[in-house]
Amino acid sequence: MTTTQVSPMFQQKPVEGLRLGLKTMLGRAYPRLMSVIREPDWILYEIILPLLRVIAFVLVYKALKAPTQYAGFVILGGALMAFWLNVLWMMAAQLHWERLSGNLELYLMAPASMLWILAGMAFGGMLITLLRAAVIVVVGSLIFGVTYSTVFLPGLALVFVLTLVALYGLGSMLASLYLLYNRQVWAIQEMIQEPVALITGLYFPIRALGGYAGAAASIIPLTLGMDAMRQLLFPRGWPSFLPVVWEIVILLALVVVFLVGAAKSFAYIERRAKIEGRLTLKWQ
Amino acid sequence: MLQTISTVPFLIRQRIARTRTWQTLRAAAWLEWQSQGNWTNPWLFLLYLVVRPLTAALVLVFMYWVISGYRSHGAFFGFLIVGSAAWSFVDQVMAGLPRTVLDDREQYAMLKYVYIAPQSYITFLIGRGAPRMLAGCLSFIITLGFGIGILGIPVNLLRVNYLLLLVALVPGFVAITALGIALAGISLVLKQNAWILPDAMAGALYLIAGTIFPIAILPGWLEKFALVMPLTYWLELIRRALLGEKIGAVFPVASTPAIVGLLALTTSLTLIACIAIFRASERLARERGQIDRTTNY
Repeated sequence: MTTTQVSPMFQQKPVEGLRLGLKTMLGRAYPRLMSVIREPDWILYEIILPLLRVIAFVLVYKALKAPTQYAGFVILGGALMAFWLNVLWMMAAQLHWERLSGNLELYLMAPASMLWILAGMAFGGMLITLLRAAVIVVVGSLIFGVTYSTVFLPGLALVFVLTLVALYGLGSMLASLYLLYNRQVWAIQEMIQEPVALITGLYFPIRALGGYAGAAASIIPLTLGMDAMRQLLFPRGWPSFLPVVWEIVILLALVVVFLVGAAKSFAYIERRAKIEGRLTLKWQ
Repeated sequence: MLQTISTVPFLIRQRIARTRTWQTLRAAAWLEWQSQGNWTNPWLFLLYLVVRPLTAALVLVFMYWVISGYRSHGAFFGFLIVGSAAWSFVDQVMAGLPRTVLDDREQYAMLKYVYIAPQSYITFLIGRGAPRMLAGCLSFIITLGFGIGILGIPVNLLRVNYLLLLVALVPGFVAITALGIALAGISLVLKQNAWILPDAMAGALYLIAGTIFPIAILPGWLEKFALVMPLTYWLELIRRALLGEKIGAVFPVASTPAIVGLLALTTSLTLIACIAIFRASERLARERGQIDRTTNY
């Protein structure tokens, strides 16, 4: 009887596995972070031009003679829209690019888990988008003279982190779909990009959509995350959907669901894609 | 000295060139139609076309209702919906053309083959824009129909000034296609950020052209900038054709014929500037060897 020898590379202790995972994550995040320094034209495309679109929505409220805090609601919505776009195009669609450029096979052959690679994409994307969102908030607030309440900063930080983790978990789940499909998922992504501004209430209170629609939209972490952040930043001016504590609890649940869901769906779809021979299928 | 003189008569050469232009346009339009639509069935494709402009309009509707009340359907309500519906053309063509260039270069790696074919690349791009213009028309009609039928915007189809609508749409198409060609040229010399460029530019023009609010709200210097953009006049004329002359009460130019003239003038200038931008960017991309590169991180 022969025994199968396992390569020493895979006989890792948990600490070594974690070290390898973190190195993988930082390695994948590195090109994204470096691009900020090496390609400064992103300031124009990712900050200045998108800021103009946010200003357009603020001006609609101004034309409607809405109270000043509505400008703040829109600016916050515009900042979070940056994260949604990053999740869609630099997280979910990234594996599509990696497949086309031939990197996907290399990722799958590497000794680190694919989830660490996704975590690296998320980490790099999150940091550069954080910068973009911060500039949108600061510049937008200065232009329109918006002030925020700073009483609940720890709660705000907690809601923000939970929203981002849940959102990037959702992005990882979407990314796994690209292992099986090509242009269909691309088109569906294009299709859901704009409706998210409607169903999550990016530019108006989610309560305006009604209870059932709001509850259904809560599956997207932006909905409750934004509602909670607006409640904390504008304690008196925001028509809330749910109390902040409930929203934090639901966001926590979404974090667990999306992170576990991403890991499970990735493992399942990767296996199916291998069986069906779709991992290297291009231009379909 | 050896001199080559073509034996083919001038008229025949002209005819061949015309046929080649037509062939290029037709092939490019068919290619675009297939690459955009053959991933699914026609109904899902139709949904894909209209969901974006329709939801963009609904976002504005809810913003309006939150402030003005749910039963309110004032003049500004029509202003918002018509502007948002007309923006479908810009989204489809101006933002779409640079995406086709990037798709060809980065996804399908066929841009170099298009370049070595005996055709004008600008003609090829115009052909790629034709199905997008059709898609824009569909989105415009469906969004507007939704606005009239469901949301109750004040458009009386019997009183619409169809001639003015046509006079607005045709130069508008030329200006939008020209802007798309310029952006397609610029995207040739950009790297990863090229993917963001189309949406970012459309977003910027969304503000400057006063798509969803009267440009009188803009700061003075930005309003002046808006008045050199053909899209500003194009949107104003579409609104006047559909909603009546009163809607333009706050527009800096009162006379409709004057706006038509300004649209023609700014469109001509935009066309010249955009072709020059495309040519300069294309030459730069060739000099730097960027026609067939792929960028991704």
